[in-house]
Amino acid sequence: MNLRHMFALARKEFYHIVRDPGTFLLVTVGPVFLMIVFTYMLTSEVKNAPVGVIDHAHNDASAELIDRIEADPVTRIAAYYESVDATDLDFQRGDIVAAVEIPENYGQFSLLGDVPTVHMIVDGMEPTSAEQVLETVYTIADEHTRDLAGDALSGFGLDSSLLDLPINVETETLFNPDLRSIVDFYPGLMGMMLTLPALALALSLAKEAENGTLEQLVASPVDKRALLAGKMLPYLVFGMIDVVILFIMGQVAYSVPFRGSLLEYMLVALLFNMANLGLALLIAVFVRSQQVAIIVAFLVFFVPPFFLSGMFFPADAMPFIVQLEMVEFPSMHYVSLAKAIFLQGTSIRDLLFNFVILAILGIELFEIAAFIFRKKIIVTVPWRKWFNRDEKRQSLTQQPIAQSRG
Amino acid sequence: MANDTMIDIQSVSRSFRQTLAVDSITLSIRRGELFGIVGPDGAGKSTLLRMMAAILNPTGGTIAIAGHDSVKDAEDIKSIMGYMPQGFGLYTDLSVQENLRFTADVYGVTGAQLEKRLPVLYEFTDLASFKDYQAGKLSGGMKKKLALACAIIHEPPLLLLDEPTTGVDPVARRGFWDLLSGLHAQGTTTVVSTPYMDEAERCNRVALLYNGRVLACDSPSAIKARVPGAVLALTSSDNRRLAPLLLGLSGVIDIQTYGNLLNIIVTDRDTVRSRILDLLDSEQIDDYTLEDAPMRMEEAFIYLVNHAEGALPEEVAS
Amino acid sequence: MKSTINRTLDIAWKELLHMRKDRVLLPFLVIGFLLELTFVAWATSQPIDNLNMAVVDLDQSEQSAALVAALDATDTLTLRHEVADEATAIEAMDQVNTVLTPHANTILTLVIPAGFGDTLTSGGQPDVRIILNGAESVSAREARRVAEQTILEQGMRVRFNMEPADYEDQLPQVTVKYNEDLERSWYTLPGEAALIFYMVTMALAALAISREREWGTYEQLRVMPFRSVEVILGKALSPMLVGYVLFLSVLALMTLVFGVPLRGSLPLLLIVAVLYLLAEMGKGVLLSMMARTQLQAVLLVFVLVMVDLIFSGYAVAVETLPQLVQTIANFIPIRHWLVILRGVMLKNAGLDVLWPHIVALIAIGAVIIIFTAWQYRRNAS
Ligand SMILES: Nc1ncnc2c1ncn2[C@@H]1O[C@H](COP(=O)(O)OP(=O)(O)O)[C@@H](O)[C@H]1O
Ligand SMILES: [Mg+2]
Repeated sequence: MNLRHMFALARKEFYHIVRDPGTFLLVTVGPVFLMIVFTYMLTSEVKNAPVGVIDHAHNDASAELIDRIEADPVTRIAAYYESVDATDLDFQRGDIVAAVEIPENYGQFSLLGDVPTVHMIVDGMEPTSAEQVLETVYTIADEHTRDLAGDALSGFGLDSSLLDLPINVETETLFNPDLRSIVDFYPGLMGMMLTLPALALALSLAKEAENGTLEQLVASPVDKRALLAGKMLPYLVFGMIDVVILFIMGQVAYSVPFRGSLLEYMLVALLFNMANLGLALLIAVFVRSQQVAIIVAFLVFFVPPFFLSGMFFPADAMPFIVQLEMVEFPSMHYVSLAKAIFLQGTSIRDLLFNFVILAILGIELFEIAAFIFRKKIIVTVPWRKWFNRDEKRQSLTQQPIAQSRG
Repeated sequence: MANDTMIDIQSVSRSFRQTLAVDSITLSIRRGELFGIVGPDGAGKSTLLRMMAAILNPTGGTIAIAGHDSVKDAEDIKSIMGYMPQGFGLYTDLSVQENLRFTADVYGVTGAQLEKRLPVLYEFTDLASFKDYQAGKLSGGMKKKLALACAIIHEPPLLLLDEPTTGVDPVARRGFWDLLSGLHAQGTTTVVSTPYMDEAERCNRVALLYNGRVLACDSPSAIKARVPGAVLALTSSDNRRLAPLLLGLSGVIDIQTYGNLLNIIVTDRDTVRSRILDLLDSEQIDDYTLEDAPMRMEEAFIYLVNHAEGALPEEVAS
Repeated sequence: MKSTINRTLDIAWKELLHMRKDRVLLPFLVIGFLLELTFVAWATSQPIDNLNMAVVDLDQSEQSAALVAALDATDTLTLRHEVADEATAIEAMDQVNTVLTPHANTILTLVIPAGFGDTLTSGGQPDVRIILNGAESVSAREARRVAEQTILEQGMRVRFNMEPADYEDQLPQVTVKYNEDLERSWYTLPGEAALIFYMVTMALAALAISREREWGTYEQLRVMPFRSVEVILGKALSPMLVGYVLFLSVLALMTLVFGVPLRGSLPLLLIVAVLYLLAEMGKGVLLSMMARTQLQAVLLVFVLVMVDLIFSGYAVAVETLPQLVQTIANFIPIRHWLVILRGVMLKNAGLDVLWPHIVALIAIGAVIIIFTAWQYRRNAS
């Protein structure tokens, strides 16, 4: 590879980046902005979910239960109904996400073991928050019933330890004691943010093709691998700067633990960055217009890594064939490596499989792009007609030759 | 192949899906020539030049540039040639100087060699005072000069220019051609495409391109000599009415309108002249002038188009 | 003189021609996004199950074996390792499995102390410990929920000889509506579909004018005798067409292949989709006018998509967001569209319930289009 060519291209690309405010923001502020958006989305917990009440009891016990539901930060009481049927419309509108029906004899225990319990109805449309609301209301109701039952037992002169759980469970959580989802998503998210420099690279190459500057380049003796590498280099540098910024942000703003070796993580991030940019080049080499590049990039960079890298949905739960497919996506390996290094302090040596694949992808994707890239002009440029039309208009004013026979 | 042949084009064709942009062209361009490829939009000029520049492969035939095959040895060709694409191929957000230095790096012109070359180019193109201008902010003519400067930065023996003067004002066009003449004088083989017939006159030889075919390839004077007959220039008060009538006269080959001037190409000067005078008389037009006019490339081209084999090309005939 | 409709169609036709020439674009869009959806559907409809469990059984009694068997019998947990002591277990959790399924490490370790069985049978309350792998917070939470429930059931079984059915009526009764099995894909697929629909159409529309600007044909368009609304609608029409076709395919895929129910009125959905598209298109064209280059247009779309993602209920129910955010969300078309789409599909909601959202869509769309037309005209002067 011709290094002088590469640096010439890299310098030129650097000028493009810093002189176009759009690109500059995309590769600098963009990742930070995106990270804030995502962490916001991920950490939003259910608060004040509206709950409806159908109270058939109207006694102290039911009033106490309603108070507890209202007092819990997750839920609030939004409306009262006479019957379960009456809740239908509000459920459809989304005005309530759960309803609690309290039976007439709520709070009245008999020695025969009759336990009046509540009936809860949950809108399951959005499973994640539905589960949260369900769990909250369920726990409140269950505990309240236990409390009432305990009182009742004491009233009957019995030992309330009868109500203890048969087995006591102690829970300990490693790596992420509070099970904060941000902690285990952050290392992966950092990688996702590197999509932005890659997107900018794909666009930049597509733009050269559209603007005709690529025609000038391919007609020059520039080494084609140097051409691609030179275009890629500045984005790689900006990508690594992003990594550093995001790393600091994670430590400071989100207190994400980091237990591994910083050097190893940076190496992983570098390889991932290279793989991402290689993929971007590949896209740009295949599709020559900015418009298509954007759509392809959205598809390739955004959706699969998001859903399939195990960030939101554990990869374990995925069909084997999907997992197999994911082997080809650098993001999967990055996520595994980054999470292990961040949270478990694992060394690359223990994750050699992922590391090797990531390294191969980091180099290979670029090589494939370079292999496919031809120093030829693009044969079908859809708007050539429009260009020509424009020029025709200009030349009409300057005595064209094609006019004749008055 | 003779040693003085720079470009040897052997029955080269190029098709894009249904379009046959270049249709088995055979041409030979000598070293040191200033060679024009002239034709209207869509004639296939750019396609032909791109194939010479080795950035587009022919679908048939071969091209050899200084003995290098344009498909197999594409990269050898690229270093001995300067190419200026039809659009502005430089970076609008880089300054004039940055564009030049970037191109120099790519062509391997560096260090002292470059520092010597830059002032020469600035002087040659008059761009010195615009050194730090963003290329995108230059006028059309300036842009073309910058593109030329970049194309010749490595002093290539071969220069391929695709419509370098399209979209440039007439004064700048003249200036640009003076630059080309200068390069020609230094011995650079130059191939220029252009839709302007008047520019063809400044070439050693021209190839008239139409619908992907070469209608004629010769020196401008030889091409004009192929057209039989002469040109008469008519101005009158009622050209609009006269034109179709004139075309109906036997011996009138073609008519071109320039404002209120009609250029009439005729087979035989004297006999047709008298027929025209008769016509003017019978149409009762008396405020006219009818003079001899020189044959121009334009007339020659249209004559050749109309008398080429095959169907009458619509674009010109309509 | 041509009619407005004619002239609008002229522009739309020209846009379609651009698209047609970009041969990769259309097949790519349709096939690409359908594939994408399939992937996402597949991945997210999988229950979180077969999570790896390790056991440290220091008791080795009949009861401890029964407890382990009960946990192993759940769909969620699968016994993978029996480990001698707790230290080894923790060490094992530190290790990451490296072959093909890199996440396949132990999610939960159960430690059963010596004497567990005796305490339980003699009526005492024995302790067990569970150790969770917090590096997989989603799986860990699920594992914990299932483990706690199973341990409780097993305890009741051994100590009181009661099966869950016996004390069921003493626990709160639960009914889940609309998405009875809490299928995650029933929520994510409509969201994903809306996002695809939205991103493609908006991106295409956003490029419509910035592209002309970059090619230098914008001025030409402006001097042609088109009214501003004609230009905007014309520009929006072909992206809308593409978007609509995409929407129909995605809808078919969701309902026919992935089994998301369509409980409400299909015609209502199809009509409202057009209203929604109009609003998004207007937004796209507006962005397109503000951007000078295609790159800038993309950036603007990008920022907008991100913002909309938060506010729209795409991933998180809007009801769970802070009040201020909920209020802002009302001004975002996709938020209403998602309510309508999911409402019709899952809740069999009709006009009587959804009308405020439909009105909001129309209002937002109208404001956007009028503003865009005004902006286009203002650009001229
Ligand atoms: N890259 C291309 N893809 C498809 N068709 C092309 C391409 N380049 C040129 N053509 C077609 O080939 C013909 C000749 O074009 P061109 O060589 O650009 O003519 P000129 O430069 O003389 O105006 C035209 O009909 C044009 O549409
Ligand atoms: Mg051309």
